Amino acid sequence: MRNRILAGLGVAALATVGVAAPATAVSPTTADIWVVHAVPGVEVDVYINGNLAIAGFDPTTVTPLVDVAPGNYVVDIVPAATPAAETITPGTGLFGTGAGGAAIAANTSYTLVAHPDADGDFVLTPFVNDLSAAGAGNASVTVRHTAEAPAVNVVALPSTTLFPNVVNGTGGTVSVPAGTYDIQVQVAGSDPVVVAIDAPDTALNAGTHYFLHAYGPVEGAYSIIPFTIGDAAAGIPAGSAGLVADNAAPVGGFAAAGAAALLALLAAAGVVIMRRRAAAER
Amino acid sequence: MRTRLAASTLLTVAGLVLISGCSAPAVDDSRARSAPAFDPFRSARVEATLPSLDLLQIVKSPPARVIVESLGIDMPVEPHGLEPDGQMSLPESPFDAAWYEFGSAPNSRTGNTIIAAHVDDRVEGVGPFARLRTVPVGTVVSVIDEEGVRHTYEVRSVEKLDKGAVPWQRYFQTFGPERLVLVTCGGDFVEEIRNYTDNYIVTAEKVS
Repeated sequence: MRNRILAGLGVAALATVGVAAPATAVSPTTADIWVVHAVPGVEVDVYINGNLAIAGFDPTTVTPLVDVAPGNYVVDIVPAATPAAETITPGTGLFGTGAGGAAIAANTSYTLVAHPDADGDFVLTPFVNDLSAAGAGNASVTVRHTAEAPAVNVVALPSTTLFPNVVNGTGGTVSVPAGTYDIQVQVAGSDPVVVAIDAPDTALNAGTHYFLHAYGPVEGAYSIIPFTIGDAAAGIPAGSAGLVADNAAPVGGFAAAGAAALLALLAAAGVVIMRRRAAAER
Repeated sequence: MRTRLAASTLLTVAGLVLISGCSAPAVDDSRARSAPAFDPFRSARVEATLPSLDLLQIVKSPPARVIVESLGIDMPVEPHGLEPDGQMSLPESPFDAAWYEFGSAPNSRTGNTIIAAHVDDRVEGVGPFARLRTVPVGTVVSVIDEEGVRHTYEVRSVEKLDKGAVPWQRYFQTFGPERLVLVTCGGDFVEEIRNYTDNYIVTAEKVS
């Protein structure tokens, strides 16, 4: 793993934004981008607007989240070199967005997937991630057909079709009850059924969005490159007494703390037990 | 600009092999893809892909204790989710910590394990997490999970952020480097809402 996202790419607007963020919100002023490398057998370097952005990017790997300013970006992907050139002429890579670039909008989550198309040509497909909430107790599953393969059905065994007839370069999102699933990717229309990917015992946890990218073939076999985006809490309200506040009056603060400590000595055990019982009954 | 594989390959091979569970397939380099169109790629290595699938099969083992020996912190940890208002729920006692059950666990091999606790309580006083605000970088933090496995982390940063300005989705990452994120409160106390203005956020990286 020698992937690294270089600083100063013209993309790295790592601004944090002064707004409380709802679950899995994207910043209103920037875009979230994930980059997935699904071209088998090829270590690459990725350039954004001509500047080296990801060096030594290995197949099956995914960059950690990158926060970028909205705008038009030219992405070029070239076979990895050692050392990688710091800059190239935008649009001259092996494949990518082409010189025209791709528009990246604020407040949007994208996954850029480098992958073979159904004929084996290398392409870069920008997908927009649907981060709407899955609902309590549910997991979200997004699949992307990014393997050199014909149309497939994605099935939860024994017989629930999650996604029918997905062709290369497309995908979809569903919400499912959290649980453990035996997922299969089957060649659409095959009879008897040809299983392209078998993912038994897949744990789909509540509050998590699974992004599954079909990968292959490698030695004729197919697999999945996954990453997840978790539902964030809106906040963590982790204090209720003001005993250690910056604005606590020194004397009063200590007195209050002392009183609380004393009270705790006298009563905490009982209170804690009561609370535990209450918690247990919930 | 194309690598291609014989059209028949998919059907022939897909019928033969399927990726199953946990064992890596033996990669036989002699069976190179037929007629690759470009040389640069021919020499590139093929990564094992099965660890990715394995990630989906991990059953999370919740943290049971969080320990910062050098600060005298040794607290029980219980799983917690969200309150109806979307805030993370916490045990009332500042002597108990909460693990965010919708996030990563210490055995997830990816993403952030979030553990939070109240800094204080009117009845029980000041909790152990109050000591986190001065934790030095490099401090060792341990998490014991429910299976009894010890996971060790080293503190990389301590931040004090205005609650309205915390980019929470950055901390609630379920994918990426394995980290432990410890959260409590601090800053000014606002009596009207009985809460603090800031969060202290300690980020630690997994070392073993």
